[in-house]
Amino acid sequence: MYHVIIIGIISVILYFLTLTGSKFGLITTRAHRSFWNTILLFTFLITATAGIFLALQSNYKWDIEGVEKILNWHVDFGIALSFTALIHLTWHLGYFKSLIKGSKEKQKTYDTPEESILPAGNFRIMLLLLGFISGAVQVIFLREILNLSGGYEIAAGAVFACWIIVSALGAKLAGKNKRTNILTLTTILPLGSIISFLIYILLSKILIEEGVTPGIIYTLIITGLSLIPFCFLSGYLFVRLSFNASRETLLLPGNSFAIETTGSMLAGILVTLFTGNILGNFQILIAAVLLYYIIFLLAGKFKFHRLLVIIASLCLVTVIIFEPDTYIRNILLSSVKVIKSIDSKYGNIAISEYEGEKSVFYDHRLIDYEQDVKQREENIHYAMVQHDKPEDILIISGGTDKHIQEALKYGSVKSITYLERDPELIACTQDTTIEYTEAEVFIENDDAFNYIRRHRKKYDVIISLLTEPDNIVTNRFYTKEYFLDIKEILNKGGVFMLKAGSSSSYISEEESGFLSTVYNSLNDVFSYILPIKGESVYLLSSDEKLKISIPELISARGIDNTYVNGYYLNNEIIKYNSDQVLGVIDSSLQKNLLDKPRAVFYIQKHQLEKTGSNRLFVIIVICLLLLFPFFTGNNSSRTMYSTSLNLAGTEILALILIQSTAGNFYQLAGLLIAVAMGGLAIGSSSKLNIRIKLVDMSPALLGLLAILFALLSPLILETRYGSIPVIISLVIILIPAILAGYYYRRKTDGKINSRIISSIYFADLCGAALGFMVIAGIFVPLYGIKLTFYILAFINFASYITNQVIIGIRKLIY
Amino acid sequence: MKKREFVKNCLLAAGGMSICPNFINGSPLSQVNRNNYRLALYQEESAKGVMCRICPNECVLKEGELSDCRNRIVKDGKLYTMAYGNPCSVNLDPVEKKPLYHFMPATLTFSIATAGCNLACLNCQNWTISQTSPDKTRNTDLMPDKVISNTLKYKCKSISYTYSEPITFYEYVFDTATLAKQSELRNILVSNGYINNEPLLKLSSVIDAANIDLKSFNDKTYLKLTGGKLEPVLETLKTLKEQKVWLEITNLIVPDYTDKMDEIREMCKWLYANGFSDTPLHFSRFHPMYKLEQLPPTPVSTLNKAWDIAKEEGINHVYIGNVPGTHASDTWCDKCGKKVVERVGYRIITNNIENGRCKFCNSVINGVWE
Repeated sequence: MYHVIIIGIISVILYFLTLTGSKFGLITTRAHRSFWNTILLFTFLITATAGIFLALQSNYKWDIEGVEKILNWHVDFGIALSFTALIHLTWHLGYFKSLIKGSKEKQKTYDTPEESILPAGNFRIMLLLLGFISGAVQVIFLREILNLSGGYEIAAGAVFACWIIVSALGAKLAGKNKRTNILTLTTILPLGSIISFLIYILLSKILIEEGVTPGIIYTLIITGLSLIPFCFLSGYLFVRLSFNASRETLLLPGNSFAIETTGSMLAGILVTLFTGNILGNFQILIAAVLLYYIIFLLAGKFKFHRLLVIIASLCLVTVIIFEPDTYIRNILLSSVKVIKSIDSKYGNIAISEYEGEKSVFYDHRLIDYEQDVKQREENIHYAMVQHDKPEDILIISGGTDKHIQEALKYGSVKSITYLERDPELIACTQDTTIEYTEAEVFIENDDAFNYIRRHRKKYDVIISLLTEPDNIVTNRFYTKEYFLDIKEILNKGGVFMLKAGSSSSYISEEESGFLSTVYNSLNDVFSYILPIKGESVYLLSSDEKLKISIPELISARGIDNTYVNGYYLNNEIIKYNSDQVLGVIDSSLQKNLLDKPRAVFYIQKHQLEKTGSNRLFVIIVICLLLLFPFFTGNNSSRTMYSTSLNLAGTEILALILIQSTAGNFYQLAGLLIAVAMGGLAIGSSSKLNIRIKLVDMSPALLGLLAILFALLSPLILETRYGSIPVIISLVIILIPAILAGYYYRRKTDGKINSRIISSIYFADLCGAALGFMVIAGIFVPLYGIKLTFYILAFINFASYITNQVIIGIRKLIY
Repeated sequence: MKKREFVKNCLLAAGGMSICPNFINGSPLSQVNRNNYRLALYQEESAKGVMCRICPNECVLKEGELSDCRNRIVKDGKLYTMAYGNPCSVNLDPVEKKPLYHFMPATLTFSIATAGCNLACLNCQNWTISQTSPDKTRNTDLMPDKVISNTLKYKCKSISYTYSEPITFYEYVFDTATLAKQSELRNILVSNGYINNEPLLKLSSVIDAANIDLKSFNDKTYLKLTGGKLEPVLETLKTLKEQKVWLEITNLIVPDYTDKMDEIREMCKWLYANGFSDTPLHFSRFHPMYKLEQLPPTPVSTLNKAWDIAKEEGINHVYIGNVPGTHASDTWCDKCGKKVVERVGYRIITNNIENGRCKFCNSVINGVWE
């Protein structure tokens, strides 16, 4: 298959982006044309070479390995060549017209516009606004991209890496470009975010079939192209603003960095405050854009600024009242009719309808639907029927009424507690008109991890219906530590059941790894474990022997089920399938622990297999891109790079520590990010003047800190409740953040040189991107928290030693 | 290191990686286990390589190249199947689960599958084995004679070649089915029907029943959803009918892809016009699966509408699958209109068929009832 549409779309989008960049002075017209000349030459050479090769092969019947691949290249590059040639044709149309008409056209000149200078005080406001809009767009854009690709860490890391790479490219280019119309760029910056989202919507509709989850390559293409309008501009603008501010108002680059991060911090706090069914994602985005313009207009005092402020304010009010999110969600999730879109603190909930049947999507994945008899009965009865007289039941997530009603089929039930972290999800799956009289029903809105540690009520049956752990947040519910907590609130003879992934005729290597690591963790806690293969794989655990003759048990208890009964289930088959699961359990595999989330590793691998993505290849390509500044920069860049990598990695690790202990990830994550940004701001605005030699030792200091945190981490994990682990985690973030900010300030101090500013910023961004991706996606799942801290320490020491060695060699040579 | 040097090194490395497809795809051929190689049937040498003629893909393969279905390979100028005696899925199923409602009801079938498939359905529920090759799966050593002994051991009356795509492990199916017949076991093919006529004719001689997935009645949709074409599947249906293999057809209704009522009506019209009015037709409910994760499940009302349309167009035995508690799992006599088989789940509650005839009016109820 030849990629006509994809290549065409990419060519057109890239062309308009470079053209727009040249019109607004981001890049010179010469650079724009050089880029396309290079593309023309490159595509021509490959097309022509492959064509000659094919011609010879056809003529002389050569037996060439991979000739079909050469044909593919010939055609695909030919398509790219055709589009590029069309672009060139538009440039030279005037020439051909003149050939026909016989008149000479004046040679066009491509003067770059004069630089326009902002009033003195406005640099601070512009930097703050830049940080604000970047922070808001980043949070919202990441959420939407993860809906498309699935919210697991490798995907998140790749998306984040894309974001930072594009910003870094803008920053890099800003260092080389001396002429820029800053006023124009700051005016159009928020529009860049709208254009980015429009491109994202367009590409996801054109490139992805209806209802399909794309692979990581497609996700990267869509993300990369979508982000160019906004991220490139924001990276570019930061460097130009920073440079001009230092030149015209003596505002140090470090202080510019502090102001910009403060803006990001404010955005992060506001977004956190307004999600949770107050405003939707797109409402927040549009509101952030309008707020930007209101402040921009007020600060700039432009002509008609009062009128424009009034118009913008009215638009803001309109957006808040009229909720555009449902309409936009209908475009993104066009396979159904979205009746209501809610952005909670935890994700997007789309209540939808298709041909008269209601379904609920969570982050674009189906979680609840009508007529789901098989699922609801399996979710409850495999566990309930194991207990002779279940009285107190705890159900964790999965949907309220349908599961409560199944549990109430057992006459002995006296109380049912339903636990759900997301209050909006409770509201979607609960019918408030139903009154339960058979037993006491409690609907609790809390994180299960936290709830189980705090509440001492005991249960006869605990059923966990959480989704499989495709990220570190959900991994907590599949760890040995969690199972130990579960056991503490189980009555004697109690039964615990969890859902362990989807079921099929074959258990793949990744599924087997996941099952083994979870099974081994359960095995350490409970005496008996029984796997049951239904629509999902269920792992039942208890200290009492468990029974496999489910149909007989159901029949003996007189439970009236539609599916979980002897008509659909067969003992022989249940036992056969159960033995099949037990047959793939590898008892030598590491248990799944809080500080060693092995389950995540297997599930992520499984997800990548599903979309046909080669994990290793993708990781290598991204890492190469991100290692670029480390290998090509100077000592300062390298140090900035490793400092940022360390900070990003420490942030992720601190997040994991918080959620593993305090449990309430989302509310505290905003605080943690605010502390990180605050630390950067403090460091970069500090007036301390430490000797530069000591400053250059900061990687070594960070390395020592990482070792200290490695030693502290097991103690933090063992701390069950209280604010102590939160405080320690915040300190873990604060110190590296201050050091990173201070290092940035010292290295850009007195350097009124945009190349240096852009180089340092570029290294900062790339280091952060690599840190986020490899720590969350690779090291933590593979090696656990403690060892990852040691790896961070190693990276920092290596960076420091590398720098010292290079300095020493240079001294010797020169 | 200078920037140019770094970029040059990266490009060289990338170029090296792209030439080495095994690195990209992660499947070094040298690790293929040769113990299960068998000379493939229906191969033809051509100027460009060895052509496999089992299915319409008709892959032309060079030395060491894998087929599209991922379980045929060319070695020393000959085509070999890698899927022989090494199933990765071995299960016991009630025969109604295939779904086969008119074939040996209330019996267990011994189900086997190797890795590989000649289509690439976006909603494949067995993708972990269909979209890979036997050298990457955890397999059981189960040569044809062992399949027979296991089938008898588990008191199954039949063997089902299912889950992935039995057409792609053709030789294994054929040899096992031949042996099975000697042990008076029946053979069931659960397949996408994407096979060429000649191999199908040969296979039909040893297969007793088949459930064929008619995934859509629109060629464009077929391509989009599966990567295959409609026409060969329709030919398969006709051939199986001519060869008197007991046939039942499954149509999985996928929202937004195959739930258009006019297409369903067209399909039913075609089935009726081509003599399939007595062939049981199963409409199955879709659930989000594999790459199709962002769709809703098929509304039950859609299934009911499809059922009505099929009945209107003269299909006598229409069933709805994957909807526990549905009314549409019973068998009715098309002459006297009485219920001849009452089913709940995979159990027969009442059976009013005697010697293949309706107990009430003595008319023939098509099927293999014993």
